[in-house]
This record gives sequence, C-alpha cells and structure tokens, in this order.
Amino acid sequence: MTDSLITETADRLMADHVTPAAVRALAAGGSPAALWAGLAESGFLDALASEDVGGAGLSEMDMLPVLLAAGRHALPLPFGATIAARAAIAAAGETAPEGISALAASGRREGGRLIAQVPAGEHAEAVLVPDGDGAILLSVASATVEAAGDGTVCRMVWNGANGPRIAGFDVLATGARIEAAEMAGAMEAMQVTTLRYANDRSQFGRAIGKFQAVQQQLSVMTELVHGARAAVHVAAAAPGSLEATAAAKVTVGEAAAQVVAIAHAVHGAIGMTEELDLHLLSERIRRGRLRYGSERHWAERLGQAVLASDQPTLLDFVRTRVFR
Amino acid sequence: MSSFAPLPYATIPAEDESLRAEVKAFLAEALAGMPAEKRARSWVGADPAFSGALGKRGWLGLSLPKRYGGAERGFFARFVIAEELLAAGAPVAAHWITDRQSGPLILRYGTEAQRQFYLPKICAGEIFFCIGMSEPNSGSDLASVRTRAERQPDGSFRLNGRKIWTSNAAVCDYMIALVRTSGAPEDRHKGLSQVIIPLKQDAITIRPIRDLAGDAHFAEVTFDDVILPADALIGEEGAGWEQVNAELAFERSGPERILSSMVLVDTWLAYLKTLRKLSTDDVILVGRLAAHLASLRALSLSVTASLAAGESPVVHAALLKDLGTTYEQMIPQAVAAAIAADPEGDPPGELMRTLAYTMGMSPSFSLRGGTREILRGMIARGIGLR
Repeated sequence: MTDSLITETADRLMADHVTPAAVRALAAGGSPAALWAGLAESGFLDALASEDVGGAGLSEMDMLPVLLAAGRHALPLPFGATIAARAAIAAAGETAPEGISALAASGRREGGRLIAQVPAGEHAEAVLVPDGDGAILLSVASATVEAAGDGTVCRMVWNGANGPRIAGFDVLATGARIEAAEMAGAMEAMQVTTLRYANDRSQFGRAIGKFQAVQQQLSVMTELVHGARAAVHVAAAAPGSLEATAAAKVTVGEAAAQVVAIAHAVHGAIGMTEELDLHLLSERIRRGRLRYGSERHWAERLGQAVLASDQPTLLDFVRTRVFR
Repeated sequence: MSSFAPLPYATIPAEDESLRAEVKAFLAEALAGMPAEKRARSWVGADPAFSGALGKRGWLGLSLPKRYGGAERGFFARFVIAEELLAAGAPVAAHWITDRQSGPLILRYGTEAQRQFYLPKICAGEIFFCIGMSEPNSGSDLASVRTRAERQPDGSFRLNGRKIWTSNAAVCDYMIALVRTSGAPEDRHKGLSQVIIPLKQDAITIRPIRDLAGDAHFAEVTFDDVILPADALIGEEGAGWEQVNAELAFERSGPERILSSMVLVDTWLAYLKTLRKLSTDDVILVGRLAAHLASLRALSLSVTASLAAGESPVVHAALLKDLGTTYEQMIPQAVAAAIAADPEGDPPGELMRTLAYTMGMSPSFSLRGGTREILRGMIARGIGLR
C-alpha cells in the first residue's frame, strides 16, 4: 500500500469506529468489545509482522499514518501497541494472543513477584513486560490489576510470572515511539479544530482568526505540530535508534504542552465544556505525556548518550545516532 | 480553509552524503587554531580567500548546471556542505548569500547572457553578491521600498536611493536589489523589479555599520545617479515582488536557521566533558538540544526536497525559520543559566567569550531574513486566516 492509501484507509477506519461517542462511552466504563472488533477487522493488526509469519511486512514508517490517524481520533485503546506487540511476538516464534495487548513501561522483580506499570492496560488481555534484556509475555488474567484511576496507567502484579520470552525487544522505547506518534496525530487534530473555531467564532464583528494576536498563536501552534510530525517521522524511520525515539518523545512532549494551551486559549470557555470534543484530544495528549517516560526521562537519557559519545559535534551525534 | 499539511519526510541521497568526509577533512585543516568565539561568527564572518578556496574545490554553486560551471549536484549536496561549514563555524559570509540565493535566482530568472556572465564566476568563488532589500524606511514592510531605477530613453536605468543592513556589502562585487521601476510606494507590490548593481563605482557609497559585538558586516549603501545598463534587470520588469519571495524560500529554509548557536553548544559540551560530576539539569539540557536539533533538521531536509523538486515552499520555509531561530535563541540563554548555576565553576575564557558573542548577537537571529512577526503572518496566511 502507498502512504496516501494507508492514510486514507486508516482515517476511514478511525472515523467509522472511533467516534467521539465511542471514546466517551469507554471513558464512562463501557466495554471496548465492539470498538476493538471494528479495529481488528481492518487487517492492520499483523501489518508489522513479517510476511513469513503471516504478516504484511510493513515498516514502522509505512504504519505511521495509522498511528497518526488513531491520535487524530483520540483512540484510547492500545491499538498501535497491540500491532507492535504482535510483530515482536511473531518474530520470536511465539503465537500472539487474541485480543488487546499492551506494552508495559516497566517491570520490576521483587521476591517472587513481578510488578509492571502498564499504560492503557485497562482492557488488555496480554502484556509485554520489560524483563532483563528483552520482554516477557504475560496474561493479564493471572495478574492483580489496579488502575491508577486517571486513565494513564495500570499497576499489574504477577506472583511467579511465567511466559514466553521475547529477546532483545525494548518495550519502553517501542511504547514511547508509538505514544509520541499518536500524540502528534492528536495535536494535528487539535490544530484543525482550533483553526475551524477561529474562523467560525465572531467577536467585535469579525472572526477571531482575523485578529493578529490570535493569528500569531495559531501560527505557533502550526509550527509545533509540524515539528512534532517531523520528530515522529525521524523516529519511525529509525526504529532501531533509541536516540531517535528519545528525541521524538522530548520534542512531542514539549510541543504538546504549548499546543494544548493554545487550543484552549483560542476556544475560550466553550473549550472547557464536556459537550465539545476538544477535551477528548487534550486528554489523549495528557495521557501520552505521562506514559513511557516524560520528556525529562528521555532528555536525560539522550543527554547521557551525547556526553558519552565521541562524536566531535552535536550535529555529528544527531546525524549518525538519531538519523539512521 | 486549509490546515496546511506537513511536507513528506526526506533523507539525503547517498551520493550527496558521500561529500561529507572530504569537507570535514578540509575544514579540520583550514580552521585549525581558530578560536571558538571567532568561529561562532560563522555566516556573519567574511573571508573571501576562504570562499575562493571552496570554489576551487568545486563546493560553490553545487546546484547549478555544469554548462555554467556548477556541479549539477542538486540541493542536497549543498545541504551537506552547508551543514559542515556551519557546524564547524567556517567564515562563509563572503559567498554565503551568493551561493544560497543569488546563483539560483540568476539561473531561474536570468537571461542566457546573464547566466553565462555571472554563474561561472559564482561557482569559482570569484564574485560575491549581497542582497538589497531593506531601506532606512522600509524594513518589515518590504513592499514600501523607495529606491528607484528609472528607465532612460536609451533603455538604461538611472538609480537613486539607499539600502541598509546590507550584509557584507563591503566585500561584495554586486548587489541584487529590489527597486521601484514604476509607480509610487503606495502601489505596493506593483512596479517593483530586481536589478543587478555592480558595487565598485564612484556613484555608490558604502558606509559600514558597526554592530554591538564590534564587527562591521552591515552597511548602508547609497546610490547617487548610478547608471545601469538595460541588462541590469533580472527577471521580469514589475515581477520583483514574486521573485523576492521565491528567493526568500531559499533564504529561510537552510541549516543556517538551525545551527547559528552550534559552535557555542559544542564548546560547552567540550567543557562539560571535562567536569567530574554533571548536574541532572545539565544532562537534560544536552538531551533537549539534541532532540530539537533532530526535528529541525528533518524539517529542513523536507524543505530542501521540496526546493529540489522545483517547488517554492515559502510557508514551510517561514515555519522552519521561526522554529529554528527560536531554538538558536534558546541556546545561549539556557547555556548561560547552566554555566553560572555553580558559582564555583571555572569555565574557560574561550567558552565565556563564545557565550558572550552568541548571546549578544542572538536577537538578530529572528530579525535577519524576516522577523518573527512577519513569518507568523505568512503562516497565518498559509493556514487560511488571511
């Protein structure tokens, strides 16, 4: 499939299934079954898995439009995470479980227990948990699950965790890369929504988008959205580069704070209502910032990598370690 | 209404990337021993001999056709060389504008005779151009220029007026100026044209203007009954406004809108590497500098691909410049706060002088080539608000 065909297909898929009503129903504690069934039918679930194990063999760059579209529609389910998990599981010669899989941000062994922080874990049936130099695939049915209650993360505890091992798979980085891409998509939707509002809303006898002070804010928002898109492009082009993932999560996370602030500033009071869909996007972005390490986590790791490297200039570091 | 889509992701073709090692080797030798505070001047520091040496190596006019002395290598070859020159802090100002925009402008709008006359000398690093846009009463409002080139009965032009903030006018041979060839300033975009003006003549006065760092790269250029031949006109008479805007897409999209503070960054990094213990804040700042450099570079590569495809990505270039100069300006502020966070710190003088220069000059990063407010206005138009 070409890039624009994937974009079109993904946009139609999300528009059909991930409606604002569906997002609200999930937030109110509804079942994800119908929404997930719709997404699963798309055929994207095994898109990243290689062809010799029955997948479509697409690259992360090929699949970026799907993550962006998921973000644009504020999809709360770990669709991108499930796709990545299935590819990793298949590559390790294991069978991917049915249903929703999540990617844990951390796994800590304490005595006989394994404690994991699992973003978007509420509806997951299986989880890939960082363990040693790879991951371990665990069933949620055998865990104690405690949701933080803010929609960001679930704490899962296994007594005597046992499952297939997926060697060499960086769960945290993969989660961060997916989250950054979906956030970039949500930010794009915010820009479009805010632009439309600025053209529709009239004050002092003209559209508020005609005022220079508002225009300057929307221009800045557009710049940040483009910067975020560029950052997730770089990360998707180099999934093997931890530095590229770090750079994306930093750039997107920093831009997110400003983009959300400008969107709400331009919308005024109406943007604070439950009725308007704007908050579905700001909520999606808020969760993304808190998941898989914030911009501080990734900036510190990236900074350490720069300082440990023997590249003569920062540009050389970025050129060779981020762009690959 | 348009939400203004991002450009596709672009990468540097391998054959262009392969130029890098040779450029690095050349620069290591050519810049050996030049202190950081001098290198921090980069595309404001002019050294015609250095520019000539680049020309001899075939590194100027890379995108121009071979029949005019160019390398026909395209925009990505220039991108690679530009990155290396800027990151190293090479004194590129003499040829920078010529290579970046005057050459491509002459190729695009010039007559065959103009191309044959100017382009081979540009590629050889023998002649340098400056840009005549701003005037004493015409800054951000560029369409209000008053410098006039009046047609004489014999087809020549009589030029009178004044340009200001002209970078490197004193070392340049020619100026490509935006002037009024008909109508009055009230006619705005109508009646503007671009002309090529040989600078070394008696009817032209070049007065250097000293900047706050003590350098004199700026100048005020006064034209007092300068007679220009008919073929001084470049492009179409009356199409100056469109031509200038196409030129600005070249001017605003390159690595120079990202890398202006890079010599300071690398000097600071070298200092950090000598410290026994680093604060978490410093490490985080280093990571942020790397992260933003990556996304800005990706945006610049995308605009380069668009230019290479013959498009004129004016709004994308404006967007990149505003983001890029924000980054460039953030650097000296953040590095200053980091260096002085520890009152017992003992930073080297070279680092402090580089910081002082970069910090002092950094406000200009978002002035030169179009102010922040003008660029954001262009983006507002691009997203359909104007």
